Amino acid sequence: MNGALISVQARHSLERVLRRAVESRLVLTDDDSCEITRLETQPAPVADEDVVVVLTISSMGFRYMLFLRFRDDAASASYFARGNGSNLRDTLLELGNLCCGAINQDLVRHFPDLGMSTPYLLGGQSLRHVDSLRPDYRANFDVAIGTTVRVGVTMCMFTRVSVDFQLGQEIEEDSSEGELELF
Amino acid sequence: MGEYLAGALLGAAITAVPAWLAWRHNAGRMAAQAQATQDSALASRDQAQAELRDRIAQHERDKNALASDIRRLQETAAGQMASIDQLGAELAASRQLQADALRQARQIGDETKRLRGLADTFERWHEQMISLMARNRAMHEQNMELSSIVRHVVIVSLNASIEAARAGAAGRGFGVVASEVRALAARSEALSKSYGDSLHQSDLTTTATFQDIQAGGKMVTASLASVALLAEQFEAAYQ
Repeated sequence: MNGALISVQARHSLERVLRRAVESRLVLTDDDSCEITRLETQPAPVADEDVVVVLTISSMGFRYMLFLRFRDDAASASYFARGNGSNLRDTLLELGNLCCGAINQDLVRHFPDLGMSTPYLLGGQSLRHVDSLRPDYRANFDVAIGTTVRVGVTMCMFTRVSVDFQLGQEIEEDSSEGELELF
Repeated sequence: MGEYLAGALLGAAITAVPAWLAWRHNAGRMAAQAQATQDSALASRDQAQAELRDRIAQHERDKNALASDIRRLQETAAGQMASIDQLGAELAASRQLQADALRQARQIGDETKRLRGLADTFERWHEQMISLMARNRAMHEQNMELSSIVRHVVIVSLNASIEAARAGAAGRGFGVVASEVRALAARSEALSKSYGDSLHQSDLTTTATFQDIQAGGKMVTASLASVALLAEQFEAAYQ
């Protein structure tokens, strides 16, 4: 890890970008509460049935990876796929795409040359090996939506260049309600 | 007779002298008048000549000034002609540069359009990743099958140990074999678990690598599109 390349304000900005994306894309109705907790330790052990949606945003000097761990339980299926379990996989991929797209949308204001991958679904056990990729920065979060749905979120940054940016106030105040925003 | 003649002559002389005197006086006055007239005429002529000379001199000066102006204007015109020629040459050079720039802009546009074919390369890599991941999934399934077999072998070996124990001394040798099989099954189970773990790690590494390639490809494609757009705008602006 060479975390020195990523400034403290860049880390804070990345966290704010992630929180904005999660709140705007993973919370499906306005009435649902959403509590995002930064985990200072490794995330809870994953069950074999958990699935992880993986996405990557690449620039010339760095890449950013987002891992969304969804539990394979009735509460998650009910919330995200509205009980239609057969579509859960596609729904989770689409949600991951939207979430990472929102992150990409914020980052592209500071880093003009970005490209985003398509989402990919991995087994939950893969998440245990994230450190083997040797990220320069990693942050884990536990997201509680409503009272029953829990999502694990991990973001990583790998860089060969210095990364420093500050999320603008105008972005913070910018409404994220627009569902037709492009990314 | 002579007296009469002399008297006549005298009388004539007496008459002629005053007349001559009068004539002379009159002639002198007339001569003076003529002289005065002549002097006046001469003075007027001299004045007119002087004025004429002045005017000639003035005209000469004006002519010289005009000649000087003409020379200056000719020099200026010559300078301007040189400038026009230079500007013409520069304009021609500029047009040449513009034509070159336009040609290069078109080349850049064409080249970037050609390089958009890279998207197919990135897509091919992505398909290879899908293929690799499908292979990994098959290996996961094979490993799960192996794990299932190993668990079954453990159970079988346990049963064999029990049966060997029931057989007493006769089954002692069989018991040793069953125990050995159970140990091998345990090692196989550990190996299978480790292999499964490696497969998960391989999944992650493969995904991370190919997603980076895919996202990087999109970044390159988008950048190429921007360059193509700039080239088109340049071409449109300077055409």
